[in-house]
Amino acid sequence: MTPSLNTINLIRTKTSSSPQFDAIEGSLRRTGYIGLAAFLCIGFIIAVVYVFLAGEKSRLETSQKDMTRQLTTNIQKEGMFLSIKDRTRIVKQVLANQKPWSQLLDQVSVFIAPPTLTNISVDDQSKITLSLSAGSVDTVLAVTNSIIAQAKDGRIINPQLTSFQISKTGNIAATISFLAVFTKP
Amino acid sequence: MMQIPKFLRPYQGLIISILMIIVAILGIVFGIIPAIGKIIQMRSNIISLSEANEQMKTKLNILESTDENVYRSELQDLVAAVPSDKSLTTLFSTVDAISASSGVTISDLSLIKPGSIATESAVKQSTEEKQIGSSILPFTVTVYGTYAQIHDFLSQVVGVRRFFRVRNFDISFSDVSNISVRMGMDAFYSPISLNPATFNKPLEPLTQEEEQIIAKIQALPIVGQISLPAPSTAGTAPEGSRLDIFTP
Repeated sequence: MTPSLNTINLIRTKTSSSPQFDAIEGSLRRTGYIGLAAFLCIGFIIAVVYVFLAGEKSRLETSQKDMTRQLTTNIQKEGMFLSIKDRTRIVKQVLANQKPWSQLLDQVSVFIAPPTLTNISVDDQSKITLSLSAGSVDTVLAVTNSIIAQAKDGRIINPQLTSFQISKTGNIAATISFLAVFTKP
Repeated sequence: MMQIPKFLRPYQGLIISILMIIVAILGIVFGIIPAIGKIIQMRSNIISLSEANEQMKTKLNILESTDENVYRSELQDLVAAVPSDKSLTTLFSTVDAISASSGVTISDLSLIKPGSIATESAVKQSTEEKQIGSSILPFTVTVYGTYAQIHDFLSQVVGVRRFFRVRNFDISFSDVSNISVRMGMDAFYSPISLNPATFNKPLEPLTQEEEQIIAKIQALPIVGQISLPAPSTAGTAPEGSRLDIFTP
């Protein structure tokens, strides 16, 4: 179609734009591309990680279900095991509270025996009291020295002469108390 | 209608770029950020799941490493030492057997606070009982015998599988051929009580010390006890009943 005076197009075929506008547009385009690319890349990575973790979770859940089933069949055994654990703890405490008093008799027989030894008593606090009756001070001194020696060896704790009496006949009655240290068999 | 595209045409590239940025921002805000949150949550779920699985695996290894009959036997041995109830029968029979074995004569055996014949689960425990973890049944016994027999009795009484403790005693040597001793003694008992909640907890294998204690108990002689009742954990209650605490 040949242009004529009646059909002159006065609108400019290309709009002019300022260099600043072009720079902004270019910058925005780059930002848009980078943003979109980043979004797609991160999205892809996240999708991969998500699928992997979902698979891992599913695998663990299946494994847990399987082990739960196995444990359910072993529940009586588990009960026994827990009871053993609990009772062992109690037994240990009881063992620690048992005292081998026959050892005390052996220990005492080293330095004193009847008839000089008239009585041995042990109270609830494990305090041992020996009552002795001797014809001379020397016998009592010998016993006392033996007790002191045992205390030095750490086999007796806190020895005390709680009473000492000499009768008209010259007979000596004395009581000695101490705490014993036992060696566990 | 045609004026808008004509007007927008110079800004076409700009609009597309802005739309791309908006899509990227919206994608990050509504897609990536929630997805990251979900992944973090899933990861923590996986960590807790794998920890639970490890515990279960350890538990299974412990349970499957030993035969049930071994556990039953060990528990029976431990229950013989510290019964689940007062077990007066074993108390009397054991003391009687020790006296027969050592040669002493029992002139008196009395329980200080007999209480209920069965387990007194509701009775408040003393500080000592709490410390030991077991109830104490005090009793007194008066025996006659020679010094050697008394010595033997005191030695045996802490060396049998039914655990006793001599709390106090008084030996008078007025007549050395026939010594009288009055002893305050304690027997121990502790009910087997298991909280089902403990079943979800991790299981620790028996330590060397615990194994040594079990071996020590097994080495102790059972005196005066004909047969021991099976521990209640052995599933004496009918299967499926509420009394059977091991029924799932």
